[in-house]
This record gives sequence, C-alpha cells and structure tokens, in this order.
Amino acid sequence: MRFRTWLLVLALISIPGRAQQQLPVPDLHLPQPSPPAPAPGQTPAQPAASAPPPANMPGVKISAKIEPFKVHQGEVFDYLVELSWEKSKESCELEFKLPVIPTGEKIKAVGSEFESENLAKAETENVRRIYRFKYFPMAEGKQSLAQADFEYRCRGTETYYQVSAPPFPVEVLKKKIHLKDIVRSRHFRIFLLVALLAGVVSSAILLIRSRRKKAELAPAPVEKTPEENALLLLTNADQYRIAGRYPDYFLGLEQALRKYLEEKYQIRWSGRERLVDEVSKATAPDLASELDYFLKFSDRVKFAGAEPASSELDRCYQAVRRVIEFKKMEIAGGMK
Amino acid sequence: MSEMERIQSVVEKESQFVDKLLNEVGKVIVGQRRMLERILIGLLCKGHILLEGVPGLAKTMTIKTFCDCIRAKFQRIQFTPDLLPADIIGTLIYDQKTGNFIPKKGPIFHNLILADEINRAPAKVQSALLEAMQERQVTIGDNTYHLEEPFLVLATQNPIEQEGTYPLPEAQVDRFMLKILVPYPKKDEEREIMERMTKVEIPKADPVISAEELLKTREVVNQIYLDPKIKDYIINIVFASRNPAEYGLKDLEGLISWGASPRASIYLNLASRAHAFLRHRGYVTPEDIKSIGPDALRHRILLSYEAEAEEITSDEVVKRIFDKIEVP
Repeated sequence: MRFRTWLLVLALISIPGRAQQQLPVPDLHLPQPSPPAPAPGQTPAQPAASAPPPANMPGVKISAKIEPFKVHQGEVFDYLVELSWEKSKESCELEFKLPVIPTGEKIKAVGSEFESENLAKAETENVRRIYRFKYFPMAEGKQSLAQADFEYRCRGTETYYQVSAPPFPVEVLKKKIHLKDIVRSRHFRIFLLVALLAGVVSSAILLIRSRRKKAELAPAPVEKTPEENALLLLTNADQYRIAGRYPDYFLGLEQALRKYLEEKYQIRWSGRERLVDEVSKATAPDLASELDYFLKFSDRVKFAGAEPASSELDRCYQAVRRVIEFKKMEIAGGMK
Repeated sequence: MSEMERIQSVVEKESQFVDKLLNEVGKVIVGQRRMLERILIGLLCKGHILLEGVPGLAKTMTIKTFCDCIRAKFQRIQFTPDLLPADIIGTLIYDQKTGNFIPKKGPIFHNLILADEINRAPAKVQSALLEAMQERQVTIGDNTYHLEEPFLVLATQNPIEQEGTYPLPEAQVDRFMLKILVPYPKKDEEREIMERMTKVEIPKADPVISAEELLKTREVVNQIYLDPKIKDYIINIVFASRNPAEYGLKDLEGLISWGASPRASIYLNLASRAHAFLRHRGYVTPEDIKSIGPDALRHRILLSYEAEAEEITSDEVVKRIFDKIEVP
C-alpha cells in the first residue's frame, strides 16, 4: 500500500504543469551497484563497480520527495529519500554507511533523521530505510539539492555498493505571510493606529454632519432681541417691587439694563460716570441724565437702605425702560 | 429724619470745601485730579502716601499748594545716601549759655512732609521716618514729642535710576495707605502747564480751609455708612489676592507670592469712605472701592518671579481681581 503511494507521488511530480513544483523524473539508480563516492576525509570505499555484487545481495530501490510539496522561503522543509529492498531467507543483511547530507546553494541543512521499517510477508520481508533531511530555504527562486549518495554492503563483506538520488530541484516560493507576523510587525501597529484615528475622525465627522442635519431639520430657535430680553428681565424684577424688596428690585433693574447695554451697544458695565458717558454717546444726553439719576438712586437703595417713594420708583423704572426702548422710539418718532 | 438722611445731610454740608479746595489747588496744578483726591483722602484718613513718578510732575508743588490751601506747615526733605535719622527727627544740641542739652526738632515736625526720593536714603533713615509715620510721635533724648495733626507724609520714589538706591522693604511699603502712580500730563494739560509756568507771575492758591476744620471732617468721614454687602466685597477682593484660585482666578495663582495684608482691608474701608465723602455721599458704593482699590492694593500684592518674567504688573493683577469679583 505504501509503495503504491510512493509511486503515485513519483507519478504526480513527474507530470509537468500539473504541479507547481517542476520536478524531474528521478533518475533512480536501481540496483546498479556503483562504485561508492569517496566522502571527504574518509577512506574511499572499495570500488564496487569493478566487482559484481554477491548473488545473495538484494536489489535496493531509491526514491525521493520533499515535504511539504510547496516550499516557502523561511519555512523548514523535509527532503525524504527512501531506500527499499526485498529481503528473503537467502539474501544477506545489508549494512549502510552514514550518508553525507546533500547540500544546496541557498538552502541550509538544519537536521536529519533516519527511520527503518520492516514489513514481513509470507516468505520475504520488505525493508524500507527513510532518510529525512531538514532544510531551511534562505532565498526564493529555483534552487537545487545536491545528489544524495548511499553506500551499502552485505554484512561480512568488504565491498560497498552505491545507490544515488539525483540532484533534486526545489523551487522556493515567496515567503509566506503569517497573521502573527503581521500582528507583531511595527508597520501593522502604525497602520492600526492610523486606521483607528481615521475611524475616530470619520465617526466624528459623521456625528457632526448628522447633528447639523438634525439642526437644519429642527426649527431654528427664535432669537429674542436685546430689547425683548431686557423687558423680560424688567417684568421678572417687578415681583420684588410688589414684595417690597427694593434692593433686589433695583438689582433686577440694573441687571436688565446691564444685559441690554452689553447686547445692544457692547457697553461694559463699568463705573457710573463712564457708563453714563457711554450711554449718552450711544443714545441721547437726556436719557443719560435720567440714567445717572437711576444709578445714583439705585446705589442709595442698595447700599444706604433708602426707602424709595412710588414716584421715585416710577422714575427709575421709566429711566431704564426709556434706555431700552430708545431705538424703537427713534424709528417711530424720528428722534435724533 | 432717618439716620441715613442725617449722615447724608452732614456729609453734603461738610464736604462743600472739597470742590473749592480742589479747584483752588487746580489754579496752580494742572490736571492730576486723581493725585489731588488721593492726597486729600490721605489727609482725611490719617494715612500716608507713596508717590511714584518720574521727576518734574509737580509732586512738590502739589503738596506745597495743598499746604497753602489748608494753612498747614510744609517741609520737603530730600533723601540722600548720607542722610542720618537725626537729620529728620532732630537731635539734642548743647547750649553753651545754660550748659544743657536742648532738643532741636527736625523737619518732621511739620504737617505735610514731602520725603523726596525716599529710596535714596539708607534703611536706618527710612525706618526712622516710617516709625514716626506709624507712631505719630518722635523721641529725642528722653523726651517724646507728638507730631502735630494733620500729619501726612508724602514719600516719592523714582521708577527710573535704581542704581545706588535702597528699595523700601515690603513691610515698610505696607505702612503707606496708598501708592499713587503719577502719570505724565495729557496734551492739553501740558500746553496749559507751559502757559501758566512761563508767565511772570506764577499763580498762587488761597487758603480754603484751616487744618483744624479739616481734622473735624475726619469725624464726618468716620460716620459714612458702609453697607455689609460692601464690606463683603472688600473682603472678597482682599481674599482673592491671597487665594486667587478660590475666586475663579486660577491664572493668578502662580503670579502672586503674597496677597494683600489686613492693612489692605482697613485702608480700603477708610479710603472708600473718604472717597464717598469727596463725592458728597453719606454711603459707600462699589464704585468707591473700585476707584480706590488699585491705589490701596498695588503695593501690597507681592508678585512672583514668574509674574516678573512675564512682565505682569501688580496693577494688572488688581485689575483682574476687580474684573472677576462680583459687584454687589
């Protein structure tokens, strides 16, 4: 069953255009005993090609593949080489030398593993040796793993025989972008911040727009004129006059006048003399003299406890009211 | 007639001389109405006045003219670095005929003293004068002499030429009731000054009131009504200079090192009454406080280095306080 899978894999990788990885049809050295390749710093094995293999030596098959099928830069992949043979009662026990790890130009070997598997049948036994070499591709592009050579011999004999997997082409694809890498990257954080700010700004703009829209739709509040505001305050102050709370009443009159002068003429409530002078310039001198009388009298009521007579109350009220209604009278009567 | 009406009528009657006096002084002094009123306030409240202004603004002439108008004795003392306390208060001199030491009274024994350029004299001379101002008496040898009323010291300081001066310590500046800044005259005033002072006969003021009569008016000033609301207003202003943040003046907090002393409240109270008297009123209004406030507070508020670095004056601080504190 496993052998079938291997064959399928080999078939798949050999179909051009089917897979992205353009793998050549492996030129397997089937039990063609070849002279063993001399390993650097090692005594070269006795040339096996010259001597025929013993009759009881089983034929070794070799196949290779990479896992995963698509190799990305920066991701470790495995190069698996499988040696298999059928062992019978007559065949000798095979001994393997430690293989030299195949190298690549921009592929760094990072480890290797070895495993063996025996599958017993009725008379024979299928043996598999799988070499798993681990690599770290450092750059993208077409790369190649060097030829993998395996030397073996029958136990008790001297001569080594060699089986090789041809150079294995590997196309290293672009580095795969992982979510965790993105999240950890500085650029992503900046982007996130910018996006957040943009979100806040856009939501603020939306909020302002919606409010404006609402405000446009809502009926505009009717703004009262300075005269109306001041007259309203005068009316409110009247309750104090009725209650006989004259200091508060005069305070109310002053507040009405203060608000009116600020709104209408932008005259700030300063000292009496200056205020009278400014009102005189803004309105009419006779109004200013009445205002002066009111202010003096107001001080007397507020700070000297003077009890105003009804005539004085009327005069003060009229003084304030005349200043407030001055413009109206000017238009109506053509004054000044 | 209510008590208030009585006070009002008394004030109206007794304050009649004010306009006459100011007009009479005005015959000689052009403009400077504010300074004239403040000097009169000082006379009415037993306070002393610190004048600050460049030379040539008629400070000496003003006080001299005032003396002429109230029939008081005037003395000008020029403060110099070599002045001694005895040069001001007097000393004991040996009488060869009797063989005894007899007191020789100094120039301080006058009604109105002009202490010209007070910051040019050393600290011991300044303190001798300020002590006499406060105690209103002088001790020469074993005898103590009371200074004759009215007694008003008008000290001047020159804001320029600070080199080689002895600036008055804060504690001594605080003894002055008011600090008045004397401004330059306006254009038309300057023209009037030029015309008056280039005539052959320089105008002279006539007496309007005697010193005794002036002293009597002090009693009237003391009767002037000060409403509790006005008292609260004074207290709020003084407290705002001490704890500005509590009165919504957070921006002033770092600018003031020390707020106004209780003398500020006392003098604001007295000076506002006198100010109301000058306006022929038997009661004080917030306007009186606003008018007299800067003169009573500017030398009592000690600014921080931060304020000095920002070139903020105590006048600006006082203005901000008055702008913020609600008028009753």
